[in-house]
Amino acid sequence: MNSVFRTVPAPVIQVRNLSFFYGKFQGLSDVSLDIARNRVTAFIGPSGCGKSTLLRTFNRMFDLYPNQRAVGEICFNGRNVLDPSQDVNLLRAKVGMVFQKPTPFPMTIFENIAFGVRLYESLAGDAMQARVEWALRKAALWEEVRDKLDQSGLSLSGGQQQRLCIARMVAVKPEVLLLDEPTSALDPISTAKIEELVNELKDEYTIAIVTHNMQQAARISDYTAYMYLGELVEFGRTDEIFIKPKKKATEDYITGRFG
Amino acid sequence: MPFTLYRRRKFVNAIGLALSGVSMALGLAALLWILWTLFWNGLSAFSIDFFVRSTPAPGTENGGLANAIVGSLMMVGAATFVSTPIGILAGIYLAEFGARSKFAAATRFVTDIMLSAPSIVIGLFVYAIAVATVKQFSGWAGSLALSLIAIPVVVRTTENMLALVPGSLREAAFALGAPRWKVSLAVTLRAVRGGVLTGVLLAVARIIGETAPLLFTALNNQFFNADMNKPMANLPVVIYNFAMSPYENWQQLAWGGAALIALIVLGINVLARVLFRDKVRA
Amino acid sequence: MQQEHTHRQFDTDIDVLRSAVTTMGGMVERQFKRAIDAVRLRDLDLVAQVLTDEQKVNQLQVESDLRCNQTIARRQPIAIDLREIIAVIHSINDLERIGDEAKKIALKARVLHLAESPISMDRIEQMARLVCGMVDAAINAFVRHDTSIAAELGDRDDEVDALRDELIEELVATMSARPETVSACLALIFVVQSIERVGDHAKNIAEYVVNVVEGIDLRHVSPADSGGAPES
Repeated sequence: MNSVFRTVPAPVIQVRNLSFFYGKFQGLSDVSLDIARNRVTAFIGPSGCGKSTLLRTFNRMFDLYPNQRAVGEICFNGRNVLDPSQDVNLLRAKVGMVFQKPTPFPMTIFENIAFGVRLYESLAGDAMQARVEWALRKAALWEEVRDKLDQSGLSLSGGQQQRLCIARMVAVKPEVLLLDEPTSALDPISTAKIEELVNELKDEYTIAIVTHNMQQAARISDYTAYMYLGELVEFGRTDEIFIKPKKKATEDYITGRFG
Repeated sequence: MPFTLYRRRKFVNAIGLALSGVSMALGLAALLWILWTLFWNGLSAFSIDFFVRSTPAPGTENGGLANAIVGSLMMVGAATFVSTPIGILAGIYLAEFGARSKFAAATRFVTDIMLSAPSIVIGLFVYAIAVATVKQFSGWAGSLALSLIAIPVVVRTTENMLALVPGSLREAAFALGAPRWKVSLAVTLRAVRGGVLTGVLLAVARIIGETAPLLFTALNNQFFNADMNKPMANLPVVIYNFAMSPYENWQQLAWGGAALIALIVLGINVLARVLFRDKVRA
Repeated sequence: MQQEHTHRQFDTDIDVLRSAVTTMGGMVERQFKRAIDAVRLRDLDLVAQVLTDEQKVNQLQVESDLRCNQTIARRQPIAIDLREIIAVIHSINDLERIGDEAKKIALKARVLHLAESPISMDRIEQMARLVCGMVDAAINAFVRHDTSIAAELGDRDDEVDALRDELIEELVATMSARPETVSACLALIFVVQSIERVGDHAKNIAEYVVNVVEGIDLRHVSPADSGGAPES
């Protein structure tokens, strides 16, 4: 096994020798790491290093595009996620994702949340109402929208829309939350609110976050993975990485000494 | 010297503005002239009789366009009823699966051809398969011809509107574990329903005025006829016949019919604009 | 060795902070030598100079701390940059203390001015030379990021401690034997304590360098426990 990698206690997802290809171009090379339960794992690295690519393999998002394929093993709940026999829709119910650009559906706020829930459960009116409220509370959005659940999701501000997307993801009760640069498009206050939200959510969920903002990774993550050109350069506890990383390449990147 | 360049740019800018202003004025003037002529000549034909009496026999006085109006409504209605679902579903297919499939590429190609096919050709085609075979002109044949004209319009608009939906919205729906058809219908289509509806309305506006295909399919009918199995009167063909006739009341009715069509098309366009604006805001 | 920051100004900021350490190091070294000379030669002018030096040293400490604050606020340093700046702050502190000890030594020279030295000054001078060398070595280690000096200074510090113990024994004996030398001997005991403390501060500075380079905190721990160098 790659000497870079160390195991973590109680891993939820175990990636082993993962490689990824966009057509002929190799986006990931032999990546191995663990995602720890009820912890936040951050992925940092310059553009094109493969961090988003890696995140999107966890929920087989790349299936949507014919030219993209992954090779290797991603072990989740005892099964290899990359196995063709894996039910992708069920996987995505267990491994939720929020994207860089807030994407509320063109429906009411209530419907946005109910949409996901209806895919898997048939809840009666009251039960659905309760679930929607629960999800919005989890996303710290309930107080702000409780009186306008029947308004379009698009009528919210950027930060609120992103929290709506988080509520939508949480409503289907996943185990793992994948956040792909969730605050890149938001102002500092909305960013802070969402970071605080991540902090609260990690008690119940396992979270993996891709960020190009190193200070954000330092603020909210327990483990950090530094990637470069499709390879995992260093992986470790965030405290160690940001005070004394083991590799000079890592230290150069995080201190702003780019090549 | 920068100042001279600047003044020259300003001058060229002014010329450009002037030219485009003049062109716009010309175009607008032409349009207004047409509308003015239509309404001036046609609105005076509107009366109760216009809407309840059928076309008069040659040489007879008065009369109206009731049979033509009803006939047009029925045929256009039937065509819309058929072409809307087919067009939208085909548009969805092309937008969602069209990137990878050769079949989709072929479909798109054929759609584009049909979009610009002369409507008289379509009329003749429908004549060959639906009229000559049963030796009967009919409202169904007319509807069929109109459908064949409307479908490509709806397909194209739907596909174009769906292509405007950002990939991130689709991905967000997939990321929840939604199956493909649900993403297409409940999320992507819903996101552009205003635009798609507009496409349908524009298709309707187009087929209301199509004359050539109806010439060989629905033909025309002097009398009131609500049976689609028989030839049906319709506005465009009636206008065509009456406009060049020697009878004054016929010409008057032709103007009325033309004005009516213009009003309806205008109304549909305004409606489409209002709908579109509401749905796609934010 | 170390690549430049993309923000060049950051490199400049850190260089300025580090040069404060070298400047102050030079200042307190001279101050210490003057203080020892003042004791040896019973020269009151030197004492006055040492007291003036003290003011400059304090001022430099205040300026340096201010600049460190500014750099931290502006740059949010992490990893090696953070360790460098922390090392600067710690080192400036230790250097300022060295200056303090020099002042205390100079003030004792006033007392000793009035009498003959009760014991031979040779070993005290030897101790002072040793400690001066330690301060010099520590500043060098800081400038060159040399982690080997810490261990050396640990050994030299043991020597200095031994010398202090001997000298204090001698002075106590002298005090008991000849009670009239009590104030002079006491003054010399304080001087010897001060010299020993300066050596400790020098050793601290060398240990900070190890933290910068290898991320290991050597304070209160034997240097033999240090780990490996960072992989490249």
